Amino acid sequence: MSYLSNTYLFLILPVVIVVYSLFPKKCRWVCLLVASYLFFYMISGKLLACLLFTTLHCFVYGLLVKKYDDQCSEALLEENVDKKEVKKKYKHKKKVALIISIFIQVGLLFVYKYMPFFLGNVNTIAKWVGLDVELKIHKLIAPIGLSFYTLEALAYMVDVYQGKIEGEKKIHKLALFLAFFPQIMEGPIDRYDGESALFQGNPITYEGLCYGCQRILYGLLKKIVIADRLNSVVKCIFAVGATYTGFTVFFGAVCYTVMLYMEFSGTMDVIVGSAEIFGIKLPENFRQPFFSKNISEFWSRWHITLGAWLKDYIFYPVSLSKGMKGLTVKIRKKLGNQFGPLVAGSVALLCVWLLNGLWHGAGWNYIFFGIYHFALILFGNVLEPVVKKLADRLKIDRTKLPYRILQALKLFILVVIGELFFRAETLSEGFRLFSAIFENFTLKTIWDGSLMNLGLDIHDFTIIGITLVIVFVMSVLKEKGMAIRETVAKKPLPVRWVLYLALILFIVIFGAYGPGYKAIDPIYANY
Amino acid sequence: MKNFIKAIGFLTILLVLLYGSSVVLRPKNNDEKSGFYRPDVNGFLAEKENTIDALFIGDSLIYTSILPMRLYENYGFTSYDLSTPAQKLYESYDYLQQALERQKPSIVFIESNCLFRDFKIESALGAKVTKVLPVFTYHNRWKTLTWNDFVEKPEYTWINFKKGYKGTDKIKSPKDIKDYMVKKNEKKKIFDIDKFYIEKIFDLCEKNDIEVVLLSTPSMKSYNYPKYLRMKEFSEKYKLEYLDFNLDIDIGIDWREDTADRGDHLNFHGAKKVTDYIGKVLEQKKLVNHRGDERYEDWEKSLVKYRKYFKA
Repeated sequence: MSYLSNTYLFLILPVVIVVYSLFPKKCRWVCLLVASYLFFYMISGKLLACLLFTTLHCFVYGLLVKKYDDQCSEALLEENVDKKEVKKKYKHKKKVALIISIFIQVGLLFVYKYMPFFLGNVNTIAKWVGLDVELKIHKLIAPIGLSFYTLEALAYMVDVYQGKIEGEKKIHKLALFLAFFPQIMEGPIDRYDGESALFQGNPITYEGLCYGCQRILYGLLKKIVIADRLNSVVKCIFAVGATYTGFTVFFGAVCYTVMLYMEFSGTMDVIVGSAEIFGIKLPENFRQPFFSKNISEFWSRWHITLGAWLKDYIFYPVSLSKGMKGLTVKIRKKLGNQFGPLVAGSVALLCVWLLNGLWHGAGWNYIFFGIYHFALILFGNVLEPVVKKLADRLKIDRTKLPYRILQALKLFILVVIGELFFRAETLSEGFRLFSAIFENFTLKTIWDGSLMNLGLDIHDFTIIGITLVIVFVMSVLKEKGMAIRETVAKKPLPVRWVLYLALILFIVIFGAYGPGYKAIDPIYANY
Repeated sequence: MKNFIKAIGFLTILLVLLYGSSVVLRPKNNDEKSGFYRPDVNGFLAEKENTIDALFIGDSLIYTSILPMRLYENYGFTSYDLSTPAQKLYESYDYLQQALERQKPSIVFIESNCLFRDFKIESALGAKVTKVLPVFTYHNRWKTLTWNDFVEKPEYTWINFKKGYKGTDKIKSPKDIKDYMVKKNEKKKIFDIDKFYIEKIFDLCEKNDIEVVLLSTPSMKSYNYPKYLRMKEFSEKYKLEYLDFNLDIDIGIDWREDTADRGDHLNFHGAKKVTDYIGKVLEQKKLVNHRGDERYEDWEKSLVKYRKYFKA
């Protein structure tokens, strides 16, 4: 089931809204928690046990850390104690608890997601070195949303350890935070806040309902009209055994990039909109990523919550670790102040991107995807001073529109190449597809009718074009800081209604669903 | 209260617009050219009122096993295969309900394989919505809209001379048949939702004075002993006639010759054997021979096309 299925939109969400409204304010969390567990049970069945275990684990860990903190405070009040020693002792205890907890959670993730990949590679290496060993590979069915709630659990544990938040004493709060049904499958990856609106039982207001529904509609527009329509082209070009070459393959990669963005950001709109109905504001995951100046900025606007998580819990801990600090000092002496810190940063960045690639899937193509972006960001950082100098010499204003357009074009092509490897079934298939772009490459493909043999006709491409223009205009307005929904809300009622009704009819009529179309399975729910 | 009225007003306008779009977008005839969904099965919409004697309901096993035109050719009985791929029982119920709006068959055969197919209630509810608002099925017809779509009313005139049959004369033998209908001491489960819908179908037939016969057509892949045991028990419980061609009734199916896809579905040769047996069953039930009746002129025309197509 996806968040864009009829079951979710027309059955689950409306039923929860009605039941939630009937509950008294104090008990509304019960409604959300029961709904979340039922929803999780519907999509993952008995694997609900995994989520319950993670919840219980977080709760017990939080209490344990709190107990250590309390014991430490009490010990510090005693006379004639070496305060430094006491602090060190309890810090060590907390650290042990944290390391064990991380090991358990990452272990679960590893068993469910990465074991077949790991064992497959062990078997390959064994074969290489001539060992007659073959480990049996059992692929376990992972609970949906495992990667998302595990990262939330890990963030909670580290934040509690670092004292940013206190260990939660009410287990239901943690349970709801980890299981909240609109975000359990695809995020966004949130950070725990005991005072979040999630627990406050906010009433469902007319305004919240309208805004939430508008956001959901916008998500449906992106997913059903564009992403699901492009699915047939993508499936056709990326099919195993397909022999497309030249511009067609590049076009397939472009279609996949657009499809992925529309699918994921569209689903995010539905998720954020659903939460908005209950008066809950979830963090945004996208901020017009294709308007970025470079890859580095792109990743601060695409899947923002994952990027932020990796930055806070991988990049900083690695780059600020004792070992890395020592290394920086040594390299700074050799390479100077400009490139010295860059090396330490790069090591941390490599860890971030390896994990980013692996988080998306257990496969060498995902690892390559991570390394590819690491290389782009690294080169970007190294070359930035050179590019800046060159632009100054040639008197090119880098803020002017023509330069910005070229910059966006370059960024788009780099992203498309990355997504080509990301979508390919294997890494070798990714390389085959990439090299196929340069075979028989001709722009004639655009107008000689070849693109019309990929499952879509001219009408479909026209609708995709029109909808992309709508999304582009909306993105430009958002980029300029315009609050679109608030602006529309100020218009007279007939104008608003015409807009909303037109949008609904547009989705109903031009949506790619029903006979002849196959909706994409939720891509990010599998990560 | 003001907001509640506004919401009701908005939803009313939306429903009117969706209904209006449905009127424009629904096909104006029941053929493929007009964009009708599943024209093979929906060909029955063009059959003259009260001209069908028997209906066959079910999944692909029906449209590959029953040749309505052969029944007409040999016995003069009129029938139609109301079958679609992987048909669920809510679809069976909907097709039957739709057929009974214009037809008064005296017998309905139900392919029992559908009783073992699970589905979600949401799918059945969704089908109800698309029935009222066909825009959800036919929205894609915007690509081929003409002025006539705005002014014409639907008129179903396309007669399917195969009467729902969709089989082939290809032969693809199974590798082996050793597991086919091997005795086991277990009964296959019938899902609750299937029980609910099959009882609705029984009620509908009872109300319209229609006899129900349960049917298990030959299929090595779809049928097994646990299903057979369950169907035996089921038919006894509801006191229904049950024709099982996998174990009880031997019509001489030769799996080397009579299947098109390694034993899953019958081919034309196999379908002839099943149809001939059904013809004898219908003969015993004293159905009327319509050959030579002027009201069945269309059936005679279809028979000519059928013979030409299948060289039968």
